[in-house]
Amino acid sequence: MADTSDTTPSVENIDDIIHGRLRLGVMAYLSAVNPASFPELVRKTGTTHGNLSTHLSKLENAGYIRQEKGYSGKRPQTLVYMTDAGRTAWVNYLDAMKELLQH
Amino acid sequence: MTEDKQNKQLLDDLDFAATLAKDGASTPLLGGRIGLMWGILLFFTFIMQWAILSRTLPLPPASLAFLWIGFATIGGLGSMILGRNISKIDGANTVANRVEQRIWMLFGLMMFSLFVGIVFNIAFFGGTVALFGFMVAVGFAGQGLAYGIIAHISQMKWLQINAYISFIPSTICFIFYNDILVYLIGGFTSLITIVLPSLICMKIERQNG
Repeated sequence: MADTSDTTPSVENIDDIIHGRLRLGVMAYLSAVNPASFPELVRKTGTTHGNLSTHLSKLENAGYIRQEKGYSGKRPQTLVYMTDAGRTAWVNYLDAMKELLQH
Repeated sequence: MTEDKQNKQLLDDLDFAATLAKDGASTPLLGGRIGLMWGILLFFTFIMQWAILSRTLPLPPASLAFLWIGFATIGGLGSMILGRNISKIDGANTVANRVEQRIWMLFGLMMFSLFVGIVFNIAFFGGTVALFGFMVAVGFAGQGLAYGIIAHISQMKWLQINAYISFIPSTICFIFYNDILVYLIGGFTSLITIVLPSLICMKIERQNG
């Protein structure tokens, strides 16, 4: 009997938590600069504070990033860290993308 | 959404992500201004030390204590202020920049631990002030090591060359460690091995916006 199951990778196999355009951008930037400040991420991604905050919450709820509120001198500052789980998810995401694009 | 549209969107998103990742990874070394400050400070302090010990400047040897206290105070405060400014620059937390910050902090700690040991040796175990010349030689060797690691992490070949060059004054200073000439050599080689690479780092930083 022939195997009829489809093993071709598809877009649906990609981690949805990472694969929003903005979240993907944040993860990519944090893979090179870790931690990054909240204003730095706003500047780099070209989005608004509110939009970034919403997407960071999604990544944080998944355990991919961690936000640390503190002070830089007298000014409040939020630093965004990629967690170990986030790094693993990022590497898995890249592997999945590679597999998808190879087909 | 059709598969074609999905793929186009996917490639567009990946391009966006790749641009951001490259942007972060290409952040230059940001410690140039701190290096420049320490290099200039070292140059003046070493030259002053030589001038006082050789009696070129008519100041008592006790003034050396004030000279080095001033050096440590200005350097420490300057590093703190400049370091705070650097932390506000985008990309300040790349691996290369974090390694750079850490390694120079540890280098400072190494020099301080040597200084404390030498002071105790002189005070209680009959050591001579020539031991401070030994510190100059060790400093250049440590500097070569620090620059070498930073150059390797940041993949900057010219900085790697500077790391190797730093070992030359270390050898020369060791040869002259018990002679006041060691401070004159230390002063001028600080210009070549600290001030010059720091200026190059600052130039690269400016070119990268």
